[in-house]
Amino acid sequence: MNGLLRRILGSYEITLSGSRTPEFINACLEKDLFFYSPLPRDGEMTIRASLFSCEKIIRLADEYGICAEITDRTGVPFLISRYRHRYGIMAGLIVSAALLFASTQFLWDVRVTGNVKVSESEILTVLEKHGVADGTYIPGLDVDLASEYILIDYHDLSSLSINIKGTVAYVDVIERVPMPDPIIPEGYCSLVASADGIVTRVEAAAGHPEVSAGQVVTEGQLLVNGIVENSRGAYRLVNAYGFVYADVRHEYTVEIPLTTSEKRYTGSTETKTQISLIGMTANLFVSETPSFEYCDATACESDIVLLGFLRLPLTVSKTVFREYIPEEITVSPDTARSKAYAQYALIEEEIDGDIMSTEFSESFDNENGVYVLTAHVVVNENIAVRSEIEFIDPRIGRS
Amino acid sequence: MKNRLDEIIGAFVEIRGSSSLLADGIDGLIEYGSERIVLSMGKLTLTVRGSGLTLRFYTKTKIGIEGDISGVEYERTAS
Repeated sequence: MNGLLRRILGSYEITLSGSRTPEFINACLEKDLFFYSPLPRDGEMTIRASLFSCEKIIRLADEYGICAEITDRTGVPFLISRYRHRYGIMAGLIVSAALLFASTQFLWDVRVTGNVKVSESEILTVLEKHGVADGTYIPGLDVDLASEYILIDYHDLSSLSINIKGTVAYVDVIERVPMPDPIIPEGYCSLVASADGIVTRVEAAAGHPEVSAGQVVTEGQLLVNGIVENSRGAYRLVNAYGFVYADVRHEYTVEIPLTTSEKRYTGSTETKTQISLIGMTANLFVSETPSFEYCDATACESDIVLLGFLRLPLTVSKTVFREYIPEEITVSPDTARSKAYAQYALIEEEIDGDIMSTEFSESFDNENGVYVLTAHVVVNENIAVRSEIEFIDPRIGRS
Repeated sequence: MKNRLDEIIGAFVEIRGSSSLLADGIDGLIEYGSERIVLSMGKLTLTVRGSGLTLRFYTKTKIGIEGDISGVEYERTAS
């Protein structure tokens, strides 16, 4: 540390020759003239002294009859002195220092933590809308006010704090936990069938069940009655609630054309690059559209990081266009069949309920050149849906 | 009654191995060379002999010497 400080402040190397050197050293200490690295060398001695004490040391050496000669000069002051006529270098250094200082007045990065379900890009978009983004002038940013406006406008967050350290804004969020829907909604209702099926299980938590296992029901048929009779013969309205499971038959159709258009990539690509510096954007291209007639586009964005940790306020966005030629190809019936079954497998994953059985039927539509796969699926699912009871006041219409 | 310990405290010499010497309570430097350094310690002089001797630090009362020390010698000065 001392060595670095001496290099910055500058030092002289002084060579002393004479018989009274030890007396001279004692005298320097008496007068608090600081020097360091004394090295005896062939009857002489070299010492190093700062710019502030060198002149006094030489004067004192002269009093003691010691020959003191400056043999070396090191440090930043001498470096600056050597280049003092190079005005361009000086101007460049001053401008660089000014730009560096000016850039520290702006936000270089916004980092979000604490989000789980809400994406970071969504939060950054909201922050940008309220003035918290790369390039924001830090002294002009009221973080408390910005936090409050963001929470008022964006309801998916329950808490948000913004802390600015240096040129980075650290945003810590807590997501709002939505209130779960009430299990039993309000009002009076019955449960009716949403589809035709054979009832397998009835679970009525409220209301009177009108069907039982094994019974065939049709769409719209009453399953659980919201009008319940008590032991005295009087009727009361309830909010019927529960589940009625039934085997329901579904039909899914997949059509695969025997002649399709596929992309054949030529290998040619074009890249459009855009640079963003503290919020200002510059395009490194003339035309936004590529020269290809048919192409796919892939976009990516990367931040510039120095030495693996220093993130600069510089972002490079690249869009790569890949040229392709659409070609018509004819698939064989076997290939069409394989594709149809693969497509049906995706449909099957989305079916809500337990699949009891599946039967397939295949056909070729020669007129349109299409392979048709039909799946007849029996699914055991809950078919009970709410049907509001229309309550008519009997007093209306009486004279 | 003067305690002999007071005399010792006034001049304290610590040698670590054969490469480092610290002297506390010196009056000044009498001779300084790469093979011989002579210190004044009141009624005594301390001569340090060796090779490649240098001053690691030096204040009005303390001195630190580094190098290959081959011998340390005390000598009473004429009162």
